[in-house]
Amino acid sequence: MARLGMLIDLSACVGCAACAVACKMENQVPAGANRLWIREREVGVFPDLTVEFRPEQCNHCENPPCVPVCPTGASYQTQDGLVQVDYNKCIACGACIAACPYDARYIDKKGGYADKCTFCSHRVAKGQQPACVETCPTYARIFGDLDDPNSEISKTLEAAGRQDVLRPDMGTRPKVIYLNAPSKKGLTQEVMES
Amino acid sequence: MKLPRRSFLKLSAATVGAVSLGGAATLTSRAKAAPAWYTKEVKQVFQICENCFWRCGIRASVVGNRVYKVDGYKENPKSRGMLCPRGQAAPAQTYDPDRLKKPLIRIEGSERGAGKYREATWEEALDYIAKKMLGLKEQYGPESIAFFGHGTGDGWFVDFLPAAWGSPNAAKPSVSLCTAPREVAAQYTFGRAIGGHEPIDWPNTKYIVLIGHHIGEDTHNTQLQEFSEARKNGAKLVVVDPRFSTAAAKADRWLPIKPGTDTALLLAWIHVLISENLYDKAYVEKYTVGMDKLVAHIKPYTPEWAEQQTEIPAQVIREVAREMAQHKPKAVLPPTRHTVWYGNDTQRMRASYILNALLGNYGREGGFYIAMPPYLEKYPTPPLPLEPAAGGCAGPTAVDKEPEGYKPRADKGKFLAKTTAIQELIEPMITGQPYPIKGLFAYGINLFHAIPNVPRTKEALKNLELYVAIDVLPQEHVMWADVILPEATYLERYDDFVTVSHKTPFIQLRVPAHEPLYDTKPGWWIAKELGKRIGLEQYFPWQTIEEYLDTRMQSVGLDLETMKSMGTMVQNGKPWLSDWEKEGQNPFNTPSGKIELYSESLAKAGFDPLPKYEPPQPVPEGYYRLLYGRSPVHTFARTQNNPVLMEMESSNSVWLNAEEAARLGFKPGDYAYLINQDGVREGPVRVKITQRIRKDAVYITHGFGHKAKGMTLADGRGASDSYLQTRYTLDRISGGAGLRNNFVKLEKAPAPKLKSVVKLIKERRA
Amino acid sequence: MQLLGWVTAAAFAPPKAALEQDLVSGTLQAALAEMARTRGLPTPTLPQTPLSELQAAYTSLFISNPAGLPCPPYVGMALDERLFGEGFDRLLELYQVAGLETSPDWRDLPDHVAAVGEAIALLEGKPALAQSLALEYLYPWLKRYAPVLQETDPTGFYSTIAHFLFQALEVIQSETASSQLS
Repeated sequence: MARLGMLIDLSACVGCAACAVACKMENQVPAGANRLWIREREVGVFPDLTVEFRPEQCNHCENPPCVPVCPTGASYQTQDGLVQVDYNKCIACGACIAACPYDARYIDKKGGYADKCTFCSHRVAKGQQPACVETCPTYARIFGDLDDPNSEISKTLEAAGRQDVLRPDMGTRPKVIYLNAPSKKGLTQEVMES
Repeated sequence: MKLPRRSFLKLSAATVGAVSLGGAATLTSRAKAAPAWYTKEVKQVFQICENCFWRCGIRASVVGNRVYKVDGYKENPKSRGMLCPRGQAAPAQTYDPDRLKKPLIRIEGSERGAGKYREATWEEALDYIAKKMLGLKEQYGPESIAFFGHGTGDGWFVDFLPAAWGSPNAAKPSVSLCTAPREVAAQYTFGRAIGGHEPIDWPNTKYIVLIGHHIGEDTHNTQLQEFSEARKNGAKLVVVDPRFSTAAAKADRWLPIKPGTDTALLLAWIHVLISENLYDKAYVEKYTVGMDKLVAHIKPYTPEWAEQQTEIPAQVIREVAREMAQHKPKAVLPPTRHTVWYGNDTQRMRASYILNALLGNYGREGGFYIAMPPYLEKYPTPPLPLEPAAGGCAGPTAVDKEPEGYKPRADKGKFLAKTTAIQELIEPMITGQPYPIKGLFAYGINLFHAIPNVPRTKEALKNLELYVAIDVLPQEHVMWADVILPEATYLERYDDFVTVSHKTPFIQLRVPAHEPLYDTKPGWWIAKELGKRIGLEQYFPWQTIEEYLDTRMQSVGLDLETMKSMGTMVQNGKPWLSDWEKEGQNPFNTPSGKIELYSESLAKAGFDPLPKYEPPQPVPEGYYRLLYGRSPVHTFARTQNNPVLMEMESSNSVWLNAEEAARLGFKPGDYAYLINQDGVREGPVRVKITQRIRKDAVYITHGFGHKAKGMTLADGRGASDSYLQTRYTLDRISGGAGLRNNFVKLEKAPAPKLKSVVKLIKERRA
Repeated sequence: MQLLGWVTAAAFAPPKAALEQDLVSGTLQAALAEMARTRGLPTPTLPQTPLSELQAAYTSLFISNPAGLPCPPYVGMALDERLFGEGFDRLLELYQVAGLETSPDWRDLPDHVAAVGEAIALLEGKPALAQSLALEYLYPWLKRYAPVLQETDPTGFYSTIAHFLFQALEVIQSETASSQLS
């Protein structure tokens, strides 16, 4: 089976948020909730500066902390590596929200269930790319099977220099991988007011 | 009792279903999640995005009366399958509850701006307008009505209708408030336009120098894509900007130039290329005139001299020039778009084009390609009394004479270029000189967020006898009109074709996704119905818009139905000099037939034939120069009521250098008032304390500071740069209004008491 | 219920000569009086407002207001706090079940208060449906916006009618509730 993941090239990303807006529209994400967002951080002193534009979303972790804490089994992992929510089983207790180190989940108040990025599984099922990947005008995103050595994502990772993930210390083994972080020290972990 | 009937509904012949009031009961038993739109019956139509002026070809996914998603498609040379955030969010405007819904007529005797209206039928509203127009024509002449506008429907209201009516006072803000300097300079140098889709061969270029060009914050879709491609292909990037823009964050070199000194830098680069013999000799020899005069002229403009002006080290200036030359002809300085900066902008653009020519890149890979318009015949009509002339900038070879019996445009003589300058048409509404302008159509243009000197615009509006606004949202200026005509949004209408001059010229079609909501009408319908009432019926010989579009399509061997299944028709272009030479043709429509480094035509008209340097107006003590630009999630002043985009960014902020902030006592989270040199105050606006800007300037994104309570989300957020631009410097060659000679000081302000956008959206928004 | 529907439709449609006629001839006042008698309510007195004032008030209350629109005239707003929400969808289903559709001349949304009012009036032969429309769709809108109209209507015409309709529906609702209990 596949092992689906996402690659984001931070040297290409300009933080335009096309991905975040496409996600909002495609998935009718309610006002006040975000499946995908952009963090912007400046580093340095005039005139020696860098800026990191970093999109974040659910990382569809290989070791997802949101799954074992779920009391009803609504939070589950698929064979091809997606972490999903079964809305009908979810009781909106909020345990998964507390467990996620990435702030990736929210409660859909109208529906009464937890929700988050699904890697647009409904599109992937039809052979399409997730909405964020399809719309990105800077070619910053690649989505695909990490276990297929001939996939674009695998080949790009093979040739890539520095690779980073968020909070590697948490042991979650995220599958959203960042390339070319602008700072030599890797991803900026602090977050600037946006 | 006997009841009078109103018929809003009628009994349909459809079968009456089972009378069980399934409604509520069915709902409580169904699964938690409402079925997603993409599981329902989705119809798709080809459309053209209207959320900025790039106008990408898109596909709209419709379920019933609602468009849920739009996407690019690969076959369209603009979107190429991708879409920017404004495009993705644009459908939310169609379902905005604040949208204009019905024609409105201002209550007689009420004050303009007081907002007292009554609802009217279209017939009533159009009859009212027609009567007033004919009265003004009788009393003052057809030229007494001005037509301002911008947007895909502007073809009807700013090009066609005024030309048929007989008014030369038709203007688009995209000319004198945006592109005029680069267009006029290009006409006088290359004898060609730049055009709306900048003709830069990004994928093949190896060295890019951006001057005041903030790609990445400016998210013109294709340009952003191709810029990214260029970088992926190893192109080097130099960014010249007083601010560390997003583009600067991607650059190999950032030159934090002193604002207003760019021409000095360009002249110094020309100096290095010439003095070190680095320019493309063969190209200059074959394709240009005036090199000898340029060589003599450039002598004083050394890098050392330029360092004094620009605060960029001479050594850096030299290095960049040499790097450019190393990569020529695949080294390019793109012309950017909004070029009305300091009032001497045509000359700055001349310097930029001269430099590009010395690099030998015009008409060659990695530089400027030669854009051609697509072939498409107009719908045959009787000849129009006037030439539609509001949109472009003609060059030295164009004729500038009015036909017999028609007055010249009211701003003629104020500047050289043969086009209208929208901000110069306001004065006649107040003074009556050179002749009175008593009527105004504003189609889509935002009068108070585009034209500088807002108090003057308001005074002008008060003097008018007829002011008609055609728009989709209750913007502040719309609620001053005598008649408000609500246009259907882009997703609900056909429009004329959008034709794009390009490497591969193309034609795009817009097809309505569903019927217009409320009592709104497409622009073409409004124009035709109005035309019928003001004696212009003969110019609208087509019966339906489908007939109009179908007839035009037949001139290229297709028909409307086929075009509806294609969305875009791509034709062959002639992008390279070699393409022209093989056919024995010359692309340079200048008097000499060559690229004019030295412009005899400018000299004859009394202007510098070669660019000279003029230092900028100094920044007054205690003030900062007000710089402005774009946000990737907003377009001008049109998106601040879009709930999706406002969730991304609900306000602008003022970028202030961190040292200056410390000196003034601003801390993170503080708000400020911006007060300009004339005492105009804007804000409160949040202060963005940053290292990313020089100490002599502040920066805000354009389009906020709305004063329109009818726009629930937009009203009262942030600061308006337009309101602060009470002064402008007229560029006497192009007619452009230089907007960057406005200065502001900052004062502490209390945090504004505004409901969060999310709260407002949840309370009463679609 | 038919009278209630008709009064709603007549009052909340854009005011034109027809409404002026209803006012001047006393038909509208008579309808209110009959409704009041049936429901055991005091008869409200309608102000004799000239048509032009009604038009200005109607526009500023229900169509466009530079100070912000106080009363969007769509029942969906009261049900879902947005347009085109689930209440809107349910209403369309109900229209379909009832065999009703909006005529092409109706240039506004199908959940406009006037349209709902007319639907109620047209469903004289299907009292259960009419009642459902009145209680589940019209009543929430009146509950939310009648008080707003009290504050914002300069003429008193719209606020009077809205308040009266609200009271009438309260009576109907309590009658329905008690009949269900028994």
